[in-house]
Amino acid sequence: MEATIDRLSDLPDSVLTHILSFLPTKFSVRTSILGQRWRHLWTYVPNLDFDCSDQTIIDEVLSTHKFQSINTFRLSSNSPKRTDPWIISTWINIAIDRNIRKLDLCFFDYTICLPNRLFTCKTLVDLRLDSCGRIPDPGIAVRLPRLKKLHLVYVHYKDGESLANLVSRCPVLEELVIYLDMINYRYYRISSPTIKRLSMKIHPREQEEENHKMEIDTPALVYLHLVDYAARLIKTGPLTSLTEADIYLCNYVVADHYSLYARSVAGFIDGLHNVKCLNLDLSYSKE
Amino acid sequence: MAAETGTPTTLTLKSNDDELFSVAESAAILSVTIRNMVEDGCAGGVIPLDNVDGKTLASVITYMNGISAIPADEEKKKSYRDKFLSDKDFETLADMVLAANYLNMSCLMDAVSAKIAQVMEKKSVGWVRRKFGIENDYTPEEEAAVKEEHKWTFEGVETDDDN
Repeated sequence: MEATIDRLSDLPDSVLTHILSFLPTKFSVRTSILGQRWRHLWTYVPNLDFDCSDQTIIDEVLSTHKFQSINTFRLSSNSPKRTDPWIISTWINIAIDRNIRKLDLCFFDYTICLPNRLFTCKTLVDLRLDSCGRIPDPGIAVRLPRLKKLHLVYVHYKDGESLANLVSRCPVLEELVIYLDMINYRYYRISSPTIKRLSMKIHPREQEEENHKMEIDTPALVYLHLVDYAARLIKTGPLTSLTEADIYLCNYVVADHYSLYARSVAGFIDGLHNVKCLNLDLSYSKE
Repeated sequence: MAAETGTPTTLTLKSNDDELFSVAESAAILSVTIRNMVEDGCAGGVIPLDNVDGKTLASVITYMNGISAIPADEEKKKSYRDKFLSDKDFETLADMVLAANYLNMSCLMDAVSAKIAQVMEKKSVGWVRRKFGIENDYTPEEEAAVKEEHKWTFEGVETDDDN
């Protein structure tokens, strides 16, 4: 296989940086030790992926990074050491200025301020927020014209309309993942003519008695994954394109509301008539 | 072409060690290089692929057929790609990345590049130099300086040298 190895060293820089773009930034920077040719190669990699919250390192990498565009910016931290939330906002602003396409933040820190201009970013295709950030209220301008994938895992919402408003301002959205623990949601409504894949996991913070209502209006949906512990009422629009569904319903509905709930679930299941592959688990629901 | 005649068109591809392969045009045009040849009318006889050997081309054609048989479902395509690459060793992956680059097949290029990156991540500097045929042209002083400059990238990293 010597021939292959010789040819590998002849690969153009564009292919080598493409390979490096799949590595966490720590490892792509590490390749600078390989030889003269590799010394600055990592600075042309359009993806930045940090599994740390060491401010100095990220600042240094952002300032040495030569690429005009940032395709992917991923920041995650499990460390108890807090990063200054304003610094994170500054980094996100740099990424927006460099035409970011994918932003992936996982922080377990709700004090992080997402800049408002993130929600009008024209280049963003994929946005993933996990345990950080707050979705603005409908009073703030929101429009993500290219966004195709949106993952909101236990994020905060400014008010009860924030989620529905954000989804309605993403005209080409295809994939939506939402984990909600009902901190400020009683009524959740997803309405989008373009969403094809929807994954929702909803549970109450405690065993609340409030009247949660779920409404899904997604006529183009092909795949649905629904785990729900909270709704007292489920309502869906036509789901004629839906071919695959994984549904897990569990409820603690009090007797007064039970027949209403049971009827809404029956109506919902009735609407799944075109589904070819269905996993349905009602085992934890009352009879 | 297939669209005009209504019957599937088959192309004949020739590797650089003179092996011939038949492949459906609809699958082969996943390669932009081949698609351009077809569109320019250069695909009448045998299409010579001077940078790909027979063993690699056979593998690429298996991929072309497999992936084009899957309907437009990104998740299923992704799991096909993962399975397709799961048993390939580093040398095969290296051959595939060269072939994907030459054939201009972005989906295969991405999948193989990601797999190579995954392998590289856990390996020592010496292993990567050997496998990529990289000559260490730093002086010991330069190498120490580069290592010092990016000290944080060497902290907490465990590597192995297994093939």
